Amino acid sequence: MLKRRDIMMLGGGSIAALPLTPIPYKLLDDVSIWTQNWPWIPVPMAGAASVKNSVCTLCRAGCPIGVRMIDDRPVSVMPRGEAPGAICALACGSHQLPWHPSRLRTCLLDGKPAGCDMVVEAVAKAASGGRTVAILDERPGRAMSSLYRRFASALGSGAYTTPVIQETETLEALERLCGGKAKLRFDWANAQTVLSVGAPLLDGWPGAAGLIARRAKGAVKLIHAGPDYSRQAQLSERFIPLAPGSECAFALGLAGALMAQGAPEAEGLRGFESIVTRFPIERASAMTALKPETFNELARMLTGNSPAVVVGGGDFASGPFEAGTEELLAALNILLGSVGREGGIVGRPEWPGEAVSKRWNELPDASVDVLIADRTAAGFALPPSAIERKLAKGAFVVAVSTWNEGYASRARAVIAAPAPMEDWAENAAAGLARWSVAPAVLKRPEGTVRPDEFLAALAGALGLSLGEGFAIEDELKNLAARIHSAKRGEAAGQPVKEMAAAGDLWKALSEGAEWSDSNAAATDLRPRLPGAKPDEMERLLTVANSHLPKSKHEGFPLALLATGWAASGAGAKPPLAMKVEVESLLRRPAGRAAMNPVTANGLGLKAGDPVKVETHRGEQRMILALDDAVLPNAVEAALDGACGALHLFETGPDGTWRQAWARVRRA
Amino acid sequence: MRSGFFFFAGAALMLLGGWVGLPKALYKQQAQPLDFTHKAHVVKAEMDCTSCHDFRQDGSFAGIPRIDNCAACHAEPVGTTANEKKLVEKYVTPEKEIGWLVYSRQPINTRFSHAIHVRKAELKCERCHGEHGKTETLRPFEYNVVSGYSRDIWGRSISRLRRASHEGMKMDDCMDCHKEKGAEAGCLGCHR
Repeated sequence: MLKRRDIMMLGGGSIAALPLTPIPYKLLDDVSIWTQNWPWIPVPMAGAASVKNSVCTLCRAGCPIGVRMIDDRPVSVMPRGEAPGAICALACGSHQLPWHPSRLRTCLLDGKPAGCDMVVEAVAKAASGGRTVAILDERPGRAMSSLYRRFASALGSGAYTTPVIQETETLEALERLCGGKAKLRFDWANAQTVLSVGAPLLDGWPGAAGLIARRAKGAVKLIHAGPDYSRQAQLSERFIPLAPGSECAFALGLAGALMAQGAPEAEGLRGFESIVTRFPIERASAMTALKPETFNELARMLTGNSPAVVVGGGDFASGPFEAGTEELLAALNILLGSVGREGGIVGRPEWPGEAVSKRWNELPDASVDVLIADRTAAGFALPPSAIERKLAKGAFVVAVSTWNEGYASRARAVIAAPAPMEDWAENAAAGLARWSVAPAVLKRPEGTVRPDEFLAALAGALGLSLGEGFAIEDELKNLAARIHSAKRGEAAGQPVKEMAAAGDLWKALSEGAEWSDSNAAATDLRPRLPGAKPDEMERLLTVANSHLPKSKHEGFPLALLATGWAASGAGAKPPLAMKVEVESLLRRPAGRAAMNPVTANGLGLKAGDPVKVETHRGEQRMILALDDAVLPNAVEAALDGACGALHLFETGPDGTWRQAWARVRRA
Repeated sequence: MRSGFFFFAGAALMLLGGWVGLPKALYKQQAQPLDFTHKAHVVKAEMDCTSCHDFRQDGSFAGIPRIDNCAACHAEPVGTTANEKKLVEKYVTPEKEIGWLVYSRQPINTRFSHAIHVRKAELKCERCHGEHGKTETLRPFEYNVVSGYSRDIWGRSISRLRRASHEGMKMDDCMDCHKEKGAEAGCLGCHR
């Protein structure tokens, strides 16, 4: 007869033996796996895996990428080629962008979903009767840019304009100083020392991948000067913090130090000497907050490790420098003897189809009745004030954009353009003489409209003739054919002149190869130094002596700087990039205002406080972050894809918005 | 004496249940959609592993061959077996993929590059897959009813003791091999 005690003993024996069996360990393992694989967690569909070679077109660095596909779905993006084992978080998550919450899947008219035909009809009505139509192409140099030019020329009263292209500003200033005899480019592959003044060379600049690779090998010394401790500053061997707005004074101070070491023979030397004499290093020191020795030390570093180049352009968020600053930075290259020298600034053949563009800021104020703003491949930050001062009262603005963010959200109508990877895109960098094409790898949604389709429909409504082959793909193929017939450069390791047909070049490009141009024949550039004429001298001294406008200083004691990176104007960021930014602190997340702890203490503010950043133009609510790297009496506003804080900046007649005076209060 | 008997009986039952009953209860069998003889392909047809499990031009591993790969040789029945007939009629002719149950399927939070392990580290296929390439018939696919994983991930032996190198594909097995070879991969080397 089984007793209660027997059952207890049986159970006791079982329990005692349980640890000697795999039951607890195995079940623990299995249950922990089970909890990671709940049945409602979506599992990606299986399919045939493949990798498509492409290039990232989200910024102008143009990193070569491989898009991993499962059947016809892009599932990840990885680096390839000269990108040294890594691509940025933005590129890594670029395949997520077509599903971004702010992505437009249908056109908008007056904030409501509308068909493309309704938008076309409204734009055609606004543009009829000889009204001024302007096109603002935020990423010129593309095949689509050529189509915009064709449309503007067919329109007659149309103006094709671009923003100031920061990456080529120093080169263009030098080209002017060379008398416009040659087109120039930086010889990044051979430069020994690079002084970037505000320019984020490693962070979205054309050719960044090649420079990152050379830096990793220790083949190039990077020095960065600027008002904020940017990613470029962090990655450079030496960071020279400049007082906000003092880049021009810095250039003149450095010019003085270089000339003290012995100036080279150059036209205009006497005039330039007199500018430097009137702006001694001590004055530059006072304006930049640098010690006078720093200028001499920097001059020795540049001349001691030549060829050295100086690059201006400013960063993506705070916009371009004044023309005078660029001229002085260009002059530094002349003083360093880097113009026309290998490893410095060399000649390049003209870009096929390269044409001089009108700058947006060159249009008369309040003159544009209809604006077509292409934001599909932006990458520049552009404040609303820069656009609005050129618009006539009641102007009709139509934005061609993938995202309902940034300036597109203020436009009367929006053309919903395909997202990255859904359409042909390209990286064209005239200053770098490289060109690459990214094919579409994903089918675009029904309601989206390509910019060329929109222009063709608008031309139809306006009764314009645009000619044959008005499509991005045709234009891309035309450019490949022009390059092939000129037998210039190489692609996929093969000289173009050895390619039998233009189709071979097109095939190589559409499979992810990059075309790089041949070098131009050495030309005797003979640049002249600026300042030869009295009015030129006075203009440069005025720029160097100017700081922020003092009339607006009262009550606004802090210098407000916009900070961001190549994606600042791109409209949207993939969740991966945002997660990396927020969690790693590698970049300051958007919506943060950063101040030096000393400045914040003086205002009674602490980290994490919600604050209002105010300027004469308005206010923006942000979260305060404290950062020792921020200069005292300055506040840095981090921009997102929508460029939220840019409305605080006033744009000058020259199209610059370097800084604004601001105050910060607890919100 | 009686108490001791029941105590040891309980212990023995638990041990029996744990070592014999648990594997039977935990794993369920599922038949492959088609029988396949690796041996016939390797010995008779003189093919090697990469003839079907090939690397693409870009270096990535194609994995389980697709039906068009099979169709290259089996557009018409090669032989008279029922399996051959089923292959041609049910899969090759209608161009339908065979839903193979993969013994070594890793979870979706893991990535594994055959190219790195086979080409760079020069590991033999047998290091992880044993003698699978010489089998005459496909064994039934067994899966864990709790985790859903293939039994090959844990390994045939429930104790995971005295296993051959190819028995088990858990993270510990990967890490043991990485330690042995001195190969650093970090978390994101294998996990997404």
